[in-house]
Amino acid sequence: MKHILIADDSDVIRSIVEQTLRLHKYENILKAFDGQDALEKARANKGHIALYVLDVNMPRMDGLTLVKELRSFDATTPIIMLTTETDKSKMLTARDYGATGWIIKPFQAEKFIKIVEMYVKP
Amino acid sequence: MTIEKKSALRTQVNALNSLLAGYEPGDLLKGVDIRDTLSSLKKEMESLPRMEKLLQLTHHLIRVAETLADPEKEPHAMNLLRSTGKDYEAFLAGSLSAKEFSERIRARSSLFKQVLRGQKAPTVSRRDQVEVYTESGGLKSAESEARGTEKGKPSKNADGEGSPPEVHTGYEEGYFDGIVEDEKLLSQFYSEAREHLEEAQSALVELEYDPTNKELINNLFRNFHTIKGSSAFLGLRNVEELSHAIEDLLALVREGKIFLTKELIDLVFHGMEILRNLLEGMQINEFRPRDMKKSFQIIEIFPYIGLMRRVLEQYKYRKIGEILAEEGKITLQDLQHLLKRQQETEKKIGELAVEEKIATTEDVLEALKKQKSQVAKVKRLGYVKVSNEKLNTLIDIVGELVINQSMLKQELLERSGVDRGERNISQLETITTTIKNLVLSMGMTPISEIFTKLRVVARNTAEELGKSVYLEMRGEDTELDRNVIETIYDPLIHIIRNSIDHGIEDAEERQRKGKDKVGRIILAAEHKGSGIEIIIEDDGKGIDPELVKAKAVELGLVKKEEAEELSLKDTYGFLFLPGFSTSSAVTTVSGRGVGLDVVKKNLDSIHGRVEVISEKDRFTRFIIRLPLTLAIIEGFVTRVGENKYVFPFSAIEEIKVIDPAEILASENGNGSEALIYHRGMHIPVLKAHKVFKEEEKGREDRILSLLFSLDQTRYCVVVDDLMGKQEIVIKNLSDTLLQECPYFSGGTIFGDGSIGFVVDMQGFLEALK
Repeated sequence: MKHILIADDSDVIRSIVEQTLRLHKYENILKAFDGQDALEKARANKGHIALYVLDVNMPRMDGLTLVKELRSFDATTPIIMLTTETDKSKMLTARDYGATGWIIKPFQAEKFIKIVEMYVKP
Repeated sequence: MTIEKKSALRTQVNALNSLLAGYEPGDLLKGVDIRDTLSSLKKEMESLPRMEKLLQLTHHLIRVAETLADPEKEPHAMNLLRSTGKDYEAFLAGSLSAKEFSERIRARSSLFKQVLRGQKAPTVSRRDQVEVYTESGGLKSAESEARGTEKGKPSKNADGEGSPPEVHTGYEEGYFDGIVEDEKLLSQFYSEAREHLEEAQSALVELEYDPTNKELINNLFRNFHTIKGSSAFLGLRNVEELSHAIEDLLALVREGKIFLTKELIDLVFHGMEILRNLLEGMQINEFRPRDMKKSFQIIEIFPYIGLMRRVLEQYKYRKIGEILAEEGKITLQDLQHLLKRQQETEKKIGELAVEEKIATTEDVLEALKKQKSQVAKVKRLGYVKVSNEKLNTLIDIVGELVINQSMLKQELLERSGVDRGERNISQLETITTTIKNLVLSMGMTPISEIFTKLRVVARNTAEELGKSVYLEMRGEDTELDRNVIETIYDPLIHIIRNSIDHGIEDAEERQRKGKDKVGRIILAAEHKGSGIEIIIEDDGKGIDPELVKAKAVELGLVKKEEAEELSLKDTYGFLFLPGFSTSSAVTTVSGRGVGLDVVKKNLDSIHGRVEVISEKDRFTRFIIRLPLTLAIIEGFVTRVGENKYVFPFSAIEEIKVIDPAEILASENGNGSEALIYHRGMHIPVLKAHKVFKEEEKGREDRILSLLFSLDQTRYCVVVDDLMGKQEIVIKNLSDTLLQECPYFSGGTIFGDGSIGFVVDMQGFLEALK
C-alpha cells in the first residue's frame, strides 16, 4: 500500500490537498502537521510512501530540514515542496538537499494532480 | 500551409520558448505548462497535412518534457527543449530552411535517446516501442557523422543516409508498396541472397572457433553488405533494414571495436534465420509482391533490430564530445560548434573544447577517464570454458558444504547455547549461501543455447519435408541447469520434428484452410513458479481426440464406453504411451517407432512433466514443465510417522491446522471420503502416511496439514509434525528405489545427521488418489 504524505501546518491546506487527491482516486493519504510529525510518520511507514508533499514553512522542523532528514533514510521517493513566491529562493537549497521539485501556492487543483500523476498513480 | 495556420503555430512555439526561458530547476508547475503548450502545438499540427515529421518531433518533445520531473534528467531535457525550441521558432520564422532544421534535429537524436532511455511511455503501445528503435535508426546516421568527423575523415556510410527518423507501427502503411514488380529480378535476388547467406553461414561457423580472423569477418561483412545493397534497390525494405542492422554490428567488429563473443555470433545466426524466412516468403509466393506482402507481414523484424541496437549500445563506447555533453559540461550548440571546428582543424575534440574555453581541462580529463573505463569494460567482456564435469563436482561439493555448515551450526548451538559464536556462524552461513548461489548460477545456462540449435533442426526438417515453417522463439534468456538443458535437447528435437511432419500442413492445404502458407511454430520458455515451462506450439492441423480415442480402444488400452468419458487431458495422455502413433504413414523423419513415449521417459528422468493440448485444424501445444535445478531446493520439513519428509516449499499453498470437528465426511463411489471446507471449496483430506506407509503418530486434537494444488485440483495432506522451512540439498537415491517409489525425488541429510526423503509432488499426489 503506497501512501502520499502531506505535511503542512495549515489545517485548510492539508484538507484541500487531501480532498483534491481523493477526488482523483488517490486513497492512501497520510497527513502531518509539522516537520517533526512528518518525520515520525515517514519513519513509521518506511517503504510504503510513494510521494512526499511538504510545506516549506512549518514549526518544530521546517520543510528544508525535513528534506535533509528524510533523505538520510530514503534516497529515492520523490519529494515535492510547497512554497510561496517569496520563499522561492529557498528552492535551490531544497533541491540540493534532495527535493525533487516545487510548486508555488496557491496552485490549481488540475495542475497539481498532473504533477502528482508523474510520480504516483492512484 | 496557410498564413493563419503558420501564425497559429508560431504563437504556440513562442509561448513555449518563453516558458522554457523562464524555467528554473524544479519548477513543476512550469513543467506542466510546458507539456500543455506542446500538446496544444501538437493538436494544431494534427489538422495540417504532411506534417508527420514535425508531429513526430513534437511528440518526442512532449516525452522529453515529461522527464523534467526527474531531477537527474532535467538539465539535459531542458537543454534539448531549449535548443530545439529555438530552432523550431527559427524554422517557422523562415530563417532556417527545412533541411537545416532537419539536420539540427538529427544531430541531437543521440541526446533525445539519452534522455528518453528507460522512459516508460504512458501507454506502452507498439508505436512507442518501435519509435525508440527507429530513433536509433536516426541515431545511427548522426553518430556515424560524429564518428566520421571526429576522426577528421568523411563519413563512409553514405547509403540510406539523409532520411530523418521514421515511424514504423509494426509495418506502416505502404511499407511494402515499393517492392519492384519484376518476378525475374526478385527471383535472381533470391538466388544470390541465398548464396550469400550460405557463405555467411560458413564464415560464421568458422568464426566460432576463430573469432578474430580478419578475413572471415570481412567476408561475413561483405555478404550482408551486398544483400543490403541489392534489397534496397528492389524495394525490399524489411530485408534491407534487417541486413543493415547486422551489417552495423559487423562493421564495429571489423573495426576492432567489439569482440565477436558467442552471444554476438548467436545474435547474427538469429538474424540470418529471419532473413532466410523472408527469402522463403518470397519464393513461396513465386516472387509476386502482392502475395509476398502477406507472408512478410507475419515475419517480425523490429524486435530483432531493436535488440541489435540495444546490444550495440552496450558494447560501444562513446566519444569525448558526447560524454561532455551528457555531463552537462557543454551544451549541444557547443558540441555542434566543436564538431564543425574539428573538421576544419583536425584537432581532438577535448583539445578544442579547452581552447575555446567551452570546457575546463578538468572536465575533459574526467571525460577521458570515463571513456577509458568504458573501453576497459568492453575489452574485459569474456568467458571462460569450464568442463561440465568440474562444474558438477563443484556443485556437489558445495552441496556438502551447505550440509556441513548447517551441521556445525547445530552442534555449536547445542553445545554452547545461542549467543556464543553466533556472529561467526551467521557469517559462515552467509558466505556459504553466497558460494552456493554463485555456483548454481554458474551451472545455469540460458536456454538460447539449444534454441539456436533447434532452429537449425527445424529448418533442415522443413526443407526435407518440403514445408515452409517459421520458428518463433521467446524467452531465450531463461536460464536452466546445464544438466537439465542437455537432457531436454532430444525431446525438444523430437517434438519439433513431429510438429513439422505431422502438425504443419503443406502450403496448399494451409491455403485451402485459409491459413498463411508459412506455418508457424512458437518455442517459448519462461520461469513459472519454482520451475521452467517450455511451450512448443504449432498452428497446424492439430490432433483429433476422436482418432486418439479410437486408436486407444483399438490397442485395447481402454474400453469403448470408457473412452467416451475421457477428459481431453487424459485422451492426449495416450499419445505418450509406447507404440502409439496415429499417423498411418511412418515417415523417415519422426517415424521408426520412436514415439512420444521416449520423450516422456527422458523428461521423467529429470523430474519433468509433459502435456499436450490441441484443437483440430488450429493448433497443437506441447507443455513441458521442468525443475530449475536438480541440486538444491527450498524445502519444508515434516515428520510423518517415524521419518522426516521434505516437501518443495513452492508447491505448498498453505499450512493448515485442522480441528477434527471441521472434517466432513462424504460418500462417493469409492466409499467415504474426508473433506474440509476451505476458502469456499471442498478439499479432500488425505493422509501422507498412506503413501509413505507410516504409522499415524500425530496429535488427535490438532491435525496438521499442508495444502497443495496441482492442475486445478486442491489437496489437503495430513502429516504428524511441521518442522519448518529449510534449504535442502537433494541427494540421489538409487534408481531402483526411485522406480519403486515415484513419489520421492531424492534424499537429504539434515544438520543433526539424520536423513530424510524429498517428495516429488506429482508422483506423490498421483499416489494419493
